Amino acid sequence: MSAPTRETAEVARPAPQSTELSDGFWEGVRAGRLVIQRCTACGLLRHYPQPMCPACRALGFDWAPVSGRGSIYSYTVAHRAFHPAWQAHVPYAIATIELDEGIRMVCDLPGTPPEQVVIGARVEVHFAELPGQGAMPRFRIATGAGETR
Amino acid sequence: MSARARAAIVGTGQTPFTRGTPHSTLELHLMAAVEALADAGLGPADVDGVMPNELAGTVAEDFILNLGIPELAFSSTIRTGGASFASAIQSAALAIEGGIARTVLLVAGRRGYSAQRVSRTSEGAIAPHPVMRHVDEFERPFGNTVAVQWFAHAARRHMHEFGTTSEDFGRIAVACRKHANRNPRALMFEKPMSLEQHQASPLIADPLRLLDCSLESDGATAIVMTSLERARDLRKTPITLLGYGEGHGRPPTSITHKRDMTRIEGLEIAARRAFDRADLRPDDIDCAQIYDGFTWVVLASLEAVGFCQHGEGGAFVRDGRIELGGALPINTSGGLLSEGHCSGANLFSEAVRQLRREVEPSRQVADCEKVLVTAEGDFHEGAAVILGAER
Repeated sequence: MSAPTRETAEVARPAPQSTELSDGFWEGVRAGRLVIQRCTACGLLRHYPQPMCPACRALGFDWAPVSGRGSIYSYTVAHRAFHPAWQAHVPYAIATIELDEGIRMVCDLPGTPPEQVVIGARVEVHFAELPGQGAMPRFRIATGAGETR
Repeated sequence: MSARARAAIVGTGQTPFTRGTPHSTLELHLMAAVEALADAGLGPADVDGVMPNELAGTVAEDFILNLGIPELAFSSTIRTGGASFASAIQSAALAIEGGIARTVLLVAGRRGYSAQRVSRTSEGAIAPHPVMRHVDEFERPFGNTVAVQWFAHAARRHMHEFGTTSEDFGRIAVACRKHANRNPRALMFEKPMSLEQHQASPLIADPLRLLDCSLESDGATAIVMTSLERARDLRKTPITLLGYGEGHGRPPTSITHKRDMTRIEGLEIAARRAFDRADLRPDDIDCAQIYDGFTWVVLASLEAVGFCQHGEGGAFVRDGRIELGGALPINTSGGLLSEGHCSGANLFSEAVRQLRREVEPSRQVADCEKVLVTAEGDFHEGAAVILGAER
C-alpha cells in the first residue's frame, strides 16, 4: 500500500476519537496498512472494534491485515452538507463498502464521477492526510476492475 | 378483547405544532402533561410514574418539581431514539401491570425547529451518546454525518434489490399530506402536495428528497396510562393495550453494518411480539400509525410488520391503499411527515383519538377498533403497540 498523499480541503474534518479498542486500527492507518480487529481465540474479524467476540466471548484480539479491496454495497449522494467540512464538496458520494473479507466500511468519495458510484463497483483502499484528521483510509474506484454484481 | 390487556391509555394532551415557540422544551412538556391529565379527569397528585423522553432531555425531577407530584414510585427513560416513546409505553404497561405504579405520565417532543434543528446539526449539536460511538468514530469522520444519509443507504439498497422507486416514497409522502390537509392541528394543514411536487423537491441525500423527510417542528405530546380496571371509572373510553413489543437489530449501532439493511429487523421482532401478545394478525388492523422519520422507513415498516412481504412495499403503497378510504389508512393525522415531529408520541395521540371517534369526521376511519402504532429508532431498533377500545 502506498504512502499517504494529501487531499486539498479547506475546513477541518471531524477527527475520529480513537480508543484503546481501536488504537490498533488507527496505528495501522498511520503506517499505511488496513488492519481489522481479529479474535485471537476463534479468528473472527470484527469491525467496528468491540471488546468481546460475539461468537466465542473471548476478550483477546489482535490486528489482521486485509486486502483493502471490496465493492460498493450501497451509497448515497449528499446534495446538502450537514458539516462545514463537506460544504465545498456537495454533491459528494458516501459509500458503504463491503471488503472481500466481508467487513463493511464507510467512506466519502468526493470528486468521484457519479456514474462510477454504483452498487457493485469495485473499490480499493489508499491513504491520505486530511485536514483536522491526519492519516485516513480512503477508497477509490479500482482501476481496470469490472462490477461484481 | 385480549385477555391479557390490563393497562389502558386514559388521557392525551398536545401543544400546537409550530415553527417557532417562546416556550422551552420543558414548558411544552408541562403544558401537554396538564392537558393530558385533564383529558383523563386526573390531576398531578394521581401521577406516580413518569417516563421522560430521551430525545427531549427532560428528567423525572422536572415533573416532580413543576407538576407537584407528591409520591413518585416509578421512572425510567428508554434510549432507542425515535422508538423510545413506543418502548416507554411498554415499560409503563409493565409498571402498571406489575403493581409498581398506578398512573404513569409519558411526555415527548422538543423544540425541533427553534432549538434542536436536525438540518443544522453539525458536530456537537446533539449530545454524545454511547450508542453513537461507532458512528462517531468510523462514519461521521467519513462524511456520513446525519440520519438522512444513513437511511438513504438503506433506501438505495432497497431500490437496487427490489426495484422500489422514488415515486413509491413519494406516494407515502402524499398520503400523509392528504391526511394532514384534513387535520387542523397539522403543520401542513393548508398546504396540499402532489407527487409531482415531491419529485421536484430537492435531493437531500439521494435517493431521499426534502419531501421524504419529516418536519422540524416545536411541540410536545403527553399520554396518561393506568390500569384497565381503573380506566373504566374515568371519563373517556378506555384505550386498551392489546399487545406491545420491542426489538433490536444486529448490530444495533450502525445501519451500514446491518447484514441486510433493507429490513428494519428490530421492528420485525417487535411487531411479531405485539401481534402474538394480542393474538391478532395484520389483517385485523383497521388503521396504522407508522413512524415516519423518512418515507422509506414507512415502506420498510409496512414490510416489517407483515402487511406485505419483504421487498413488496413499493407495490403495496401504489394504489391508494394507505390513504383514508383505502384498505389500510396510515398516519391519519399526517404523521411526522406532515403533522409534526413529536418523537412519535403524536402517533399515539392520533391512535387514541381515532379509537375514541374524536377526530374530524373527514378523517375518521370507519369502524376503527384496532390500531397499530409502530416506531423505528436509532439504527433500525423497533417498537410496536396494538391499541383497542373498550366500549
